[in-house]
Parts: sequence; structure tokens; C-alpha cells
Amino acid sequence: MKSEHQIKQLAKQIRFKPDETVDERVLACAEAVLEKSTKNQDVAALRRPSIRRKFMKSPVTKLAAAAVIIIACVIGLYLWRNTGSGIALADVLTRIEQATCYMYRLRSTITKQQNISKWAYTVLITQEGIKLKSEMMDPEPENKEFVLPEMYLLPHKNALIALSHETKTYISMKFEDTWMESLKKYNDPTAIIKQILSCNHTSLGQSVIDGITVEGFQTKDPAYKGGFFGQADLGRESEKVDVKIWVDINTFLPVQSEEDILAKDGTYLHEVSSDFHWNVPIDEAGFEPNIPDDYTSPVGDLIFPPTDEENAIKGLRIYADLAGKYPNSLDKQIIEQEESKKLIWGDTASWEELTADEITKITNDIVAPILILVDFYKTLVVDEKEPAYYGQSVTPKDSKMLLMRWKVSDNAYRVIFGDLSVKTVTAEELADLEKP
Amino acid sequence: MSEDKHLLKLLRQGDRHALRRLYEKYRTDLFTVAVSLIHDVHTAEDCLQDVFARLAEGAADMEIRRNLKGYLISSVANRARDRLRSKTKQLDKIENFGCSTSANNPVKALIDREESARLFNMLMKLPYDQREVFVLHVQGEMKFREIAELQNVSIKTVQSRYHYGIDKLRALLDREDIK
Repeated sequence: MKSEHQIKQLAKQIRFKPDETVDERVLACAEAVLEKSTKNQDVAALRRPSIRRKFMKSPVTKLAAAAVIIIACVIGLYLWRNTGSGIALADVLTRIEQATCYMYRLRSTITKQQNISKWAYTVLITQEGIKLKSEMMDPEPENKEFVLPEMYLLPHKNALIALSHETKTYISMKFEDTWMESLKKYNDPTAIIKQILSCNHTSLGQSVIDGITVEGFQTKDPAYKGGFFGQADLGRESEKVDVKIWVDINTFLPVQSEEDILAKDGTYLHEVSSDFHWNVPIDEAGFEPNIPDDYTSPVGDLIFPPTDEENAIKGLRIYADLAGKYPNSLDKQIIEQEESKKLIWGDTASWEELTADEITKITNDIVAPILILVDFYKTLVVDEKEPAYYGQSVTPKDSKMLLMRWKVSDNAYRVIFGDLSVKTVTAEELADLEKP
Repeated sequence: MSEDKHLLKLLRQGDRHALRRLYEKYRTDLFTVAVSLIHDVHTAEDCLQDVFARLAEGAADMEIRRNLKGYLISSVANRARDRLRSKTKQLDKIENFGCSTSANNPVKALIDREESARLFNMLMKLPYDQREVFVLHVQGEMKFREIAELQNVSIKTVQSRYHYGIDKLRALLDREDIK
């Protein structure tokens, strides 16, 4: 029989050391917080609820916010278009594509200045679509219980449906083919593998995770875009990247992946995908979202038009009508900036007074076109169409100044002017337009 | 002035080196307590990050009545409890997907001594209040009085939880020895 002393001695021999990646992450986060709190001595002001948090309090706007977040995720997914070549990892890709259905857990932590947002996702991917449950793991009491809806991405129906069982509400979003085609191709951990393949990567050799012998692959290439279903702002340039994926040496299927990405603007993303279950049996009929009769939609159908030039120009026009100027840059953050939130949704006091129709109208008429504009530009970047945007210096009054351009063929560029007129020009003509 | 007090003073002035020194000094103790309470390395990592982010954010306002280590261990315990509540909900949700999940223990391989590894696994068999008392007292070196404040119960209750915990661990270890 063991004595209390012996049991205590055994317990004291249990020691866990965080690894170097964790050390870096924790310190990067803590230092960012320290810097911010030192700069701003008014700590109380730091803790004042942001517009986003006030907005989250309303059950109706919670769902509308969720919709915007979901759309942001969808845009993120759309960016994973890179393909690459490789040998072992390419085999892994093949094996994943052979799986009819799988699920896994994803935990995401995004540290942006002093704000830390943590999300946990359960993802189920089938040939019918994707089912996603997400939960915000937020230490702030007011957000602690905020749960995003259960979400279904249904490529065959070009639809995204989000249900909140908590509030017995749902949102239905319709997308054009272009969006869903991309989702079908770039919607799962294969995106991570494709990214690694397209970057400089190395083998980590073999290890053991949960009793499974695995082989690891790693990239530290800043070209890695990363982030899956998290809210990584994928358009940002990365300062530091450390991505690892561990693959079962027997099945060639992923066991775990870890992403640590420090963007140049200081945003830190940490994501871990694990608990993979492959070819899990599911009831196919049961995959369709079952919307109970007593559930209501706080907004009408949200409709997202195709990502094309016409709708991108519409997005520019709408933003200019609201702000009297064009956005300074075309990244996803446009929607998240306080200035834009005020432009789009009015002041915070009016937030919770919006009716369902008003939210639907604002989302369809304003938010969606601006998101399409962002997506259009990102697509040009990903497709290496040499896009350039001059919204910081060109206003709607500068009718003949070059606002945006991209390449359409060897010697032809499409240009949008300050008055939003459009023209195709030669490379020489473009050079003249871009002269200071 | 103790090293911790000095480091805290520097931290209030925004000194990164002080933050790094405190992290190096306590990272293993805090991480060990977090993993022992939660039995999940990734969640324990998140706890560690939370605790140091809060330390960095709140250093200016912080009043530490006893010792910094005790304060940090208590912070880990609070976060571990929150995380476990969320995790339980998450597990329920995974099951609601209609798919089975296999139990796993990713930390087992990290403990060298087999007997300690067995004890670590047996900690999970203790009711959470007993496990928390055992881990905080033995691994976190917290006094019963400090744990009583944290758990908002009397010292006697904490002592009882500790002894019940020891008895149960002893019985479990003995049972395995016989096998």
C-alpha cells in the first residue's frame, strides 16, 4: 500500500514543459497585450465594450453578425486556390479525396492587439456538403456563451444555411455558382496540404501522436496563406509562419495540423486541427438541415451575386456613396473597421432598433456588394492578374484618374477610373495613366 | 524586495524582459498544473496564454496579497475550470453530430516514469474538486488556506477533499499493483 508521501512524490515527478512554439505564441501574445496596455494607461477604456460587442448583445443582430462572419470565412476559403506538386503529401491529398465523409475539431486563437478571440469548431465534411458548428471561447463574460449557429454549406443548392437552436432562428444565404464551385474544391484540410506543397517545406521525420506513428511536414515559408474556417485575415502579409501537418504513416491520412502565423500587422493566428474521424457513418438524409416548424428567420434570404467586374464596381459605388470616398484598401478588414461599421450600420444606438427587413436590406444592398468587391480584388491577386488599387489617393471627383487596374491579356489591362467608368488599355497607355 | 516584486514593478512599466523572465520562471509549473487539471495539452496551452495575457494586461492594477506564483496558479485553476465546462459542452456537441469519437490521451507519452503516468491517468478518475485540491496542493504547492479561498469553501472542506482524493488514488494504485 502506497503512503501519502509516495503518492505525492509520484505526482511531483509529473512535469510538463510547453514546447518552443507554445513559448513563442504565449510570449508574442502577452507582449502585444503589454505593449498596448502600456501605451494606453486608461485600462478601463480598453475594456469598454466595442461596437462589435454591443452589437452582439441583440439576439437578432447576433445572427446577422454571424452571417457576416460566415461570409468572411467563405471569402477566406475562396482564396485557397494554389496548387502545387509533391510526392508524399500529394499521396495524402489523394487519400483525403477518397474519403467519403470525415470530421475533425479545429481550435483557433486570433490575437489582435489586446483582443484575443478563440473559436472551437467541429467540422463534418461529406460529399453533400459541410456541416460546421462553432463556438466562441471568449474569456469576456459577456461573450462567454455566445455560440454561432450550426451551419450547412450545400454546394448542390448554392446555399448556406445557419441555424441557431438557442434562439430558434435561422438564416438562409444564396450564392452564385462561382462561389460554390470554389467551395467544393477548396473547403477542407487539403487546402493546408496544397498550401504546404506550394511553399518551401521540409520533413519533420516520424513521431507518435495518440499512439499513432506519424510523419510530419513543416513549412516556415511566409508565402503560406493559411487559416481554415478561422477568421485569419488571409490578405495580410506574414511576418512569421510555422505550419506542421502530421500524417498517419499507415493510412496516409492527417492526424493533426498546427498553424502559427504572425502577420506583419501583429495579428497572431494559432490553429490546431485534430480528432480526425475518417469515413464516419452518417445518415445521408440526415445531413440536410432540418429547420423545425417553430424556427423563424430574423432576416429574409441573403443573396450574394457573382464575383465579377460589374458587381465589384457596384461595391465601389456603394462605398463611395456612403463615405464620399473610396476605401483606402481592398481587404476584408473594410467591413470590420469601425469607420465602415458606422457607415454601413449607423451609430451603435440604432443597431438594436433595426428591423429584420432593414438588416436584410442592408446586408444585401450594402454589405454583400462590398464583400464582393473585396473578393474580386483578392481573386485578381491569387490569379496573378497584376492588380493595383489607388483608393487612398483617388476620390470620386477624380473622374479621369486611375482607381484600379488588372491584366486581362499579354498587352491589355482593364482599368477603372475615379468616376467608375471602365476601359481596356494597352500596357503603354497604362504606363501613361500611372505616371505621377 | 523579492525578485517577483521587482519583476512586477518592471512589468507595470511595460518591461518585456520582466515579462519574459516571469514566463521562464513559472511556465513549467503552470503548464504542469493546467495539463494535470485538464488532461489536454492544447487546452492547457490556451490556459497558459490566457494567464500571461491577463498578467500583461492587468499588471498596472494588480494587487498581489501573498505571492505571485500562488496568484498565477489560481488563475490557471480558474481558467482550467472554465475550459473544462466549455469542453464538456463541446464533447456533447460532437456526439450530437451522430458520430462516435474515440477517447484519446495525448499527454500520456510525455511522462517518462510509468508509475507517474499511471497516477496521472488516475487523476482523471477523481471528482474535479478533489483533483483540483490534490493538484494545486501537491503540484502547485498551494496552501490549503489559499485553495479554500479559491474554491470558496472552508479549510476543513479542502482538507477533506484532499484526503478523499489521496485515499482514492491509493486504492486505484493498489488495485493496479495487484493486477
